[in-house]
Amino acid sequence: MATKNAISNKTQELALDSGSGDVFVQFNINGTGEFRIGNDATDDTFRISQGSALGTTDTFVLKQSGERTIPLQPAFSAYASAQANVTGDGTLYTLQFANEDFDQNNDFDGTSTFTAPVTGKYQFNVGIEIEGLTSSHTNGRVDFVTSSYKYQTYVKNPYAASASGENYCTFQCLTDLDASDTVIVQQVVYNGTKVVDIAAGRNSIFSGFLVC
Amino acid sequence: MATKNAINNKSGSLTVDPGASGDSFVQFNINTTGEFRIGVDDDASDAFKISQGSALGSNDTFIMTANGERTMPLQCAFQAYRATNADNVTGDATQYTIVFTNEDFDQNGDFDGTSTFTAPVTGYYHFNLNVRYNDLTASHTNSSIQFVTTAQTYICWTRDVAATRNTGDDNSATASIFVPMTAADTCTVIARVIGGTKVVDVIGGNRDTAFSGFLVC
Repeated sequence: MATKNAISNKTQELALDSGSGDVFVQFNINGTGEFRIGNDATDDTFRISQGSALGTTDTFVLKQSGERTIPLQPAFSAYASAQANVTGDGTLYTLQFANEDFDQNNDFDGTSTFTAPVTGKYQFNVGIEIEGLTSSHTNGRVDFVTSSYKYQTYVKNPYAASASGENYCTFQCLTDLDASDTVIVQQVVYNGTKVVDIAAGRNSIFSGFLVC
Repeated sequence: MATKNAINNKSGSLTVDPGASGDSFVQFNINTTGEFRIGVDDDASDAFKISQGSALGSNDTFIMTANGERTMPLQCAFQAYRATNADNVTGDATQYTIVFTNEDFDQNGDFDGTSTFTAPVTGYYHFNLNVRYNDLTASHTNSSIQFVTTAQTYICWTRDVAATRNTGDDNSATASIFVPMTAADTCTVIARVIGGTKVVDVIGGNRDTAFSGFLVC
């Protein structure tokens, strides 16, 4: 027989016991199920679920062994297809990352732009392989551009840093975004002709996630 | 009329419902002092919150939107940057502990406003560092950037910055680490250029030189 909760006898403790099945606290407003928190009996994980059921629209899942996942948290990774002759003559080029490995909350537009769904702090990582550098390409940089800031990185002589005209640059940051703020990645190489390419595949990759 | 909770009828669940409007919550007190409140904030698009004290929307520590985006407004997270150049700070192997002049944010007040992050709790932390140099010469053939924590020094980006400097004698370096820290441990970052004279600047502006980090778990 299921144990009745002890709220009538104790003030410091509320014990819920379903016997079998989920055990939970349901938060409604005017009869509408807003969130349910509790133990999902199918695997005894602790969950915070939007709506009125555990295991359907889970937003937070904590295993008894302590691993926590957040299945709908903004998190994405996208990589480039080949992009030819995009800079080299001073053209400031917005990189295209047309292939998504994942986009957990659909915040990346599938080409170049991440849009923050909520105000918060986001971690981003960028890796870019550039090709087709010649000895005339003696200046360049990568710009990481948010609605509020511009981070100028990889400021160097890209040809001097290259091997057979190929070079690789990386960048990472934790930045603050307001809801609807956008993020793009741009590259510019100077002093030569417009023959610099962006390499395809996960050699050129843009990823990010909402931290807090 | 608010729906009374069904606690007397069900042993496996508790349903909380204020009725037509208002927050739906469970309050945790010790000796009548409100310690935490968890529930749905009717004033915040029905987000689920864990709030310190006795009210949702004040001192929120955990916010989960109905779309599943989770934020933690008081979680340890910071970004600091140099707004101006630091002139002639390295080049002769001087290890320059980078001084940051501005903070974009410091969510839990753990960065001291100049150079040092102090861990508020024991845990695992992620740090990012980007540095831009200027006034490099052909003699500056070696360099590194370093994360110096209480427990360890992490030397990153060892590179010949002279050979790859641009036409303006600029070069930049970048690195990130994921490290364990005990409460009260500190982290600073160092820029070091070797081989020539002490004429190398660390550039400010446009967040070219920036240090950021957060508590992961």
